[in-house]
Amino acid sequence: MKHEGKGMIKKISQRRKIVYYLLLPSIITLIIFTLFPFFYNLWASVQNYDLIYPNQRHFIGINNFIKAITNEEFWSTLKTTLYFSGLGVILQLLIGLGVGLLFGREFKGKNILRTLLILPMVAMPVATAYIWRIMFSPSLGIINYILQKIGLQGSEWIAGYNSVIPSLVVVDTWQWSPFMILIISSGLMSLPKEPYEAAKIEGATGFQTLKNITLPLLKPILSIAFVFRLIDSFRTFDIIYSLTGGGPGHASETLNINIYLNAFRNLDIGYSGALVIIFLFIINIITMFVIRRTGFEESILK
Amino acid sequence: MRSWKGIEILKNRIAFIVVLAIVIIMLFPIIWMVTTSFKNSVDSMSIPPKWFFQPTTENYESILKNQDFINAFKNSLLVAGISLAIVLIIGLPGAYALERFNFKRKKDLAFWILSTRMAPPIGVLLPFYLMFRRFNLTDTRISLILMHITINLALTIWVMRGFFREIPYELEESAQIDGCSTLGSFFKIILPLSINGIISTAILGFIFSWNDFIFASVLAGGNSRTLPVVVARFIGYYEIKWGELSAGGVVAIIPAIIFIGFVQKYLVRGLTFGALKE
Repeated sequence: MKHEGKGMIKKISQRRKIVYYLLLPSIITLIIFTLFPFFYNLWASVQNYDLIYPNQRHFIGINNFIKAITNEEFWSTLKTTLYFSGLGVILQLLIGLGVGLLFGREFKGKNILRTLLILPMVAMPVATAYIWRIMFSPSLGIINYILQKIGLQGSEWIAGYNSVIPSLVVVDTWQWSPFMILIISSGLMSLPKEPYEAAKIEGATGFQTLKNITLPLLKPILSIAFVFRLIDSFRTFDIIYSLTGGGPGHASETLNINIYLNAFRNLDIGYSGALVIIFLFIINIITMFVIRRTGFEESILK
Repeated sequence: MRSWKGIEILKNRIAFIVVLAIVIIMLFPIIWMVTTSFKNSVDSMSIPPKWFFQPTTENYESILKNQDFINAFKNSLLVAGISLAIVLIIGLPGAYALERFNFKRKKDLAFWILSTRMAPPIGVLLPFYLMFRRFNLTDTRISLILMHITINLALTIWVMRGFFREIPYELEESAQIDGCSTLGSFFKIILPLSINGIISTAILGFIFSWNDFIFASVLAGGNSRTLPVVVARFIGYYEIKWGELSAGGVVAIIPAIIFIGFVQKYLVRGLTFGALKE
């Protein structure tokens, strides 16, 4: 017995060593790809650094940050981001819940329908953006044609100042509500059966069951879906850039697009570095808030 | 009792019809892309839209004669394939260590790995762009391959950790009693038993890399353009040639169409970092 114990200890210490060899490549790679860019952006954010005049680079303290928060453009991009992401994610959550519940029922062809639903999510966004562009065309597009056919008024869609964000939300919702539907429908399948049987015996209505049993049980799953989608939505690039490039004017310029344009069109490395730091800060605040409020951490870090 | 059952059956029917309608609406843009790709240039822009038309393959012929498009297709395959291979070589042992060993602050490490995925790509892109410029690596496939590691590494570690968790400890223990080393059991037991998980994670990673636009739009030039960049440039060349645009789009989403059947089973897990299983 003693002998065996000693052997076990030796084994464990050997395993200790090997754990570092197994993990080190991942950790080093992730450090290179996250900490290096973070500190670089931090450094750039306190420089006056314009790639057009790289020799005039100098330290300017927090001036880039002051430039951002006193700049109307910054606040308007922030508003656009919240409008786009807020509207989109809430819409997707509602659709996900509705269709997810429908998938909870028994019917033929369920698996095939679920598989087909994945397509918008994995199809190349740049490619699907173009088909939306073609469909959105005010004079030759199919959407306005159908709307007019059923007696509704067409829209300018992505060409209009006021309609551009709702149009992008349509595309984003088309692309990502399948994500919500899949998560919620698979979450529903994993729920315990007993509360539902009890509710049936007590004669609860469908709505009562939904409100008092399904939604509370689904809460951890809904919050995972919400956090992932919200963060992803802040970073939306492909569909906005290839459909509108931030236009018309600046009407669809989210913070993410604004940073991209500042960095790679204006080549203003210092200012875009500062914007990246602000962006990270906002993402962190929101993530922390959502995690605290929803018990997300327990459900993901089992 | 009987009427209650009848109501249930009716409700199931209604659910089916509503879901079917939603799926058709969701697939409409893709169906429209496919039909437009088979229309000639007059039919593709006609109003009212032509539902029935003489199909033509001229758009595909024109796309497949376009050397930029062919090169981009090759570049996309190379970049996605190689970066994915690197991700698996680095990430699979990491996922194994994270699942099977206990060490100090393991939870913190796992959460840190997850949090790296939350970082906006734009923040990663800028410093690396400047670095690649300094080392004359812009417009090379190498720079893209490196950047695409960031797309998939954290995801792979988290998802594979979940797959490894499902393999019973006892299998490894009995192998080790028979003298199998830790690495031996990783290669002989863990990897073969989780091959389905590895394949579906790899497919998902391949699609993410294949679809990437933000990294490629900045880093790729004439020599290394990937498909999304070329598809995006088409709008400039082809402007109003909707047929060609659609044909290019159809070719670009083919991997997704081929793979959805296989990924479907594990997609929820992949997209939620293994937080949810099916």
